[in-house]
Amino acid sequence: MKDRIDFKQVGALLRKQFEERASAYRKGNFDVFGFLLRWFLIAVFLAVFIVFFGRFTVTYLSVKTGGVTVERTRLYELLAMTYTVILLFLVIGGISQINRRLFDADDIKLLMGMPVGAKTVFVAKLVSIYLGQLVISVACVLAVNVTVAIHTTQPWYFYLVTALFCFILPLISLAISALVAMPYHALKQFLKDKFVLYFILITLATGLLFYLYSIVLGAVRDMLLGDSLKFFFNEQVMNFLQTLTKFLYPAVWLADLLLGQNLLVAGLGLAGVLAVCLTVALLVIRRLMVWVMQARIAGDVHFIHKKSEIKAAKRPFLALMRKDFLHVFRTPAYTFSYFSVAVMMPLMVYFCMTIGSSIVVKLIGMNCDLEIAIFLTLLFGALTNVFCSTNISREGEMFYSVKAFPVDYKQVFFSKVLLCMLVTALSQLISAVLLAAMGYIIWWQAAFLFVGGLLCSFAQICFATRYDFNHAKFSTEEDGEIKESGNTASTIIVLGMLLAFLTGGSVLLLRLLTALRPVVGLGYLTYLIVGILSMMAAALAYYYFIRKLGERYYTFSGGGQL
Amino acid sequence: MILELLANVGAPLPAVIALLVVMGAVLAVQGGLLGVLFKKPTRKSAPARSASPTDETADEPVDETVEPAVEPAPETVEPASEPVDETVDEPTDDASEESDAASCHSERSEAEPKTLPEDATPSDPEEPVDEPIPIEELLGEPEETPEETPAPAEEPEEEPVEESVSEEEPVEESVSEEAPEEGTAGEPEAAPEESSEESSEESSDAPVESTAETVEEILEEHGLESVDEITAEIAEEIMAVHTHHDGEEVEVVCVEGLSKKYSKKADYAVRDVNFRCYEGEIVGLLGHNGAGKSTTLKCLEGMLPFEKGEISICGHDIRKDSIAAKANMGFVTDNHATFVKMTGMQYLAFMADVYKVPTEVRKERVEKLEEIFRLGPAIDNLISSYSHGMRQKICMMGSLMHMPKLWVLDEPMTGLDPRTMHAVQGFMREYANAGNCIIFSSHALITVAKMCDRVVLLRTGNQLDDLNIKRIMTVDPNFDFEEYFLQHEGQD
Repeated sequence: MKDRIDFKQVGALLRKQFEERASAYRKGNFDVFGFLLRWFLIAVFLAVFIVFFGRFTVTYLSVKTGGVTVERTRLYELLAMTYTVILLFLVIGGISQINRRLFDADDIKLLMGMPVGAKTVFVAKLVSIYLGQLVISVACVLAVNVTVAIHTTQPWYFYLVTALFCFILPLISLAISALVAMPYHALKQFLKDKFVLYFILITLATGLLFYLYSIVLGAVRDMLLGDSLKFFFNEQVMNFLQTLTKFLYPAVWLADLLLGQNLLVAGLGLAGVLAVCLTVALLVIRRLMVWVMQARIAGDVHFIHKKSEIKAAKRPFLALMRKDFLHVFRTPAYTFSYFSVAVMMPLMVYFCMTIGSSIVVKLIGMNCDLEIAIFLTLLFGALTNVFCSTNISREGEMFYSVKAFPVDYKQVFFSKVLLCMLVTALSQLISAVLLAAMGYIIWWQAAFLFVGGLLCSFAQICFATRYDFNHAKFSTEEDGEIKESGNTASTIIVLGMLLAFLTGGSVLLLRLLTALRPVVGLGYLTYLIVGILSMMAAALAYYYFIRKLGERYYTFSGGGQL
Repeated sequence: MILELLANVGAPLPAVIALLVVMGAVLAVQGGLLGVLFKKPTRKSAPARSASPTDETADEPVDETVEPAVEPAPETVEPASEPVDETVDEPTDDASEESDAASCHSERSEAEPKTLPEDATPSDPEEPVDEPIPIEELLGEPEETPEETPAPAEEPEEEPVEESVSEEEPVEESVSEEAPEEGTAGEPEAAPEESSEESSEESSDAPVESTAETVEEILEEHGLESVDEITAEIAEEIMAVHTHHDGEEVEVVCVEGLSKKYSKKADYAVRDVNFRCYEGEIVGLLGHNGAGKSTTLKCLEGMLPFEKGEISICGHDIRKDSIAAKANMGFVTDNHATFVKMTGMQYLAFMADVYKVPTEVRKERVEKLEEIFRLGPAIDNLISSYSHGMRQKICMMGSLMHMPKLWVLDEPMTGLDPRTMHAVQGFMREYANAGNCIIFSSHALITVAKMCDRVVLLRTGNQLDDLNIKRIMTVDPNFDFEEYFLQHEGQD
């Protein structure tokens, strides 16, 4: 029988996926606090983006080339570059979604044994990925175009095309993602059992991304410092951007359509790209998907380790820690979000320190390096420690087995806390040493920074571990990987950032105030505030962590697996 | 003020840092972080073998703060309307009466002698006991059952004393305390053993006709008309007596009045389950899907909390003294959950570490287990690459690294290849014969009938029966356990 797309089955499959997602919002599973925090974070992110992008738009549109300001040309360049970034963002998301829902999803294995055609499954999956991309696309396109519309006057078709783009952009990104998804999957499979190589590569890639990010931050600094951003966009830079813009396909067509120019070329070009990408992607994925699925059903990669003998006895505590380490290190997503980010955190602190220090010196002419260092260390420390928000959930059903081991609950929990502490301590230590080595702070200040940062990290790790334990959601994936960034992560980010802003922000503010009106004997205020706040945070979080933990451990029957 | 003081004294800032460090350290020590980190191992050897449960309890703090509620005597399970009551309530009631009288920590005190010697247990599980044994020999005591059945109900007169002792004392102590009392009970032990030896001797020579005669005798005795009724009748008779285990054996598991709900509003997943398991026994947990087998086992393993009842393993309460209880147990879950990011060998090392298996015996154990389960070179592969059956094997191997006194298996034969299944069955028998206890759940009735000494039957969370299946099979080799099980299953 010929494999045809059965749209009734497509509908049924989409309903299934919708119901699976909706189950997270049912009573008992729904974490209101985490959900609200998550949306709050997204809203804050969008608000910050709109403010900064608005300022950047105003600055960029006023840049002169050849002594003349051509707003329309600048807007064209700006839109082309912005849409390239949005497309890149969507493509990266699309690749991840395709891999997750087509190649790694467990339901595919079941569906392959059912009388559902491969094309039907494929279309249903693509539709669900498209819907996911649509949400992101709407957020991005609206944020950019509304900001542009606020700062420039735009005709009616700008809004019409904006609405159209919300739906077209995910199609383009999906088509491009589909082409790249297969090589990405092959690379992932290749690296799957080469844990060290994967770690090195992903760390280097993260470092590169952070470096690029620091360049963006440099631009932000120049923007904040007023005219210096205009100085940044000198003749040479503008020539480069103009040349670059010519090659930014298909974003230039999108910019053309938005500004109502070269409509025929842009429209045909866009349609052509869409048609070619989708056709090739459909053919390639559909053919290779069967092969990927069969490989999955046949089993995981058979990585033959060297013949080994059983190791000598270790303490159960160390065995539990090693177990957690192996779990994290051998799961690609965790390696990235835990170890690579932790290794790269010092660089991020350093990049931001160079920018922050110069801004403060230029704006108020005083040295607040220690306070900035504290703020940045706590802030990036908080972001790095997000990995501990899955300390319990990532264990999956094995958490019940661990419960049945003859080990004290304290050993179970503290082994996790200590592993996180070791990672974060290393990260904090390198940060402090780097800042001291680069002359921003002196050595004993570095030691103080390290201890203060460590106490705050301890607070965050303790809180995150207990919060995750209280709201555990075990993964249904075979490898136990938590693939959705849950509400717990949002909560940990918000609280970590609050602590960072409260501690770092208050010392920075006080430093500025005392600089304006010096008070005798308040030289140690920074140390006192950081010391007290970090210790209080550590003590409170520890109390939250340990309170009735043994009792809850005994009565634990969560995780959604029972 | 502190700030001014520091400034006036001219204390260097490192002092402030030192203050932070010291306070942090105090915080950690107070919470037990350092205590956990630097705590020495409490056992040097495999807990089940070398360390006595009492030692373990002494070393390991009891962390669970939940007070196990002293529950009232469990209610009788079977609803009166059920037609099965007449057949099965008797043992259930006995069990509940017994549970009224004795707590989980007490040594079983039935004076009932051991009538089924270990010799009678086939060393090769592949060979069922086919030789007919004269029923009058085996049923010598059960013939008196109409009068003797209530005997356990009379015992509580002695039991309350034991209960008060045993609630606080570990098993060994209660054994020693009971020994003088059981002197009288010990005397008749010799006679039945002789009789059983005789019976086994006779059984080898006994013609098949003798069995038929005995059956007729029983038919006459019970006024049965049809031979078809004999199986159920014999089963009833034997159940009445043999719901209680024979002999002076050391209790490994005691489950009393176990009731478990998954949420406050939900019905009980298991209700008032009572059974005991002894050294050398293989006990099967049988029931339909959702009967409560896995729930019972998960409560036993300490994975799930339970509302009512008591569970003890080797005399250690799973709630009060959980670490010592768990140290005496190895378990294999029904979903074969393992740490998939470890290699097989790393997993075994991990399990050995968790159960504190000394370095010197690990290699030997791995080799021995490898002989049975034969994972081969795959043992050095990541578990994520294992097939279902291989995961089952590595789970079993891991659970046996410390050679536990109690081995709990949830659906152990699922996914195993025939060779491994055969090897595992043989190993289970040997392991039990070595003085250990095995509890497993299964749907495979033939396997259960072949492997188990006793079977605990569950239906919709209620305990139906506690059958001495080995005994029944010995008495009546033609006993159709499958039919018996289905008969009970059909009585809704």
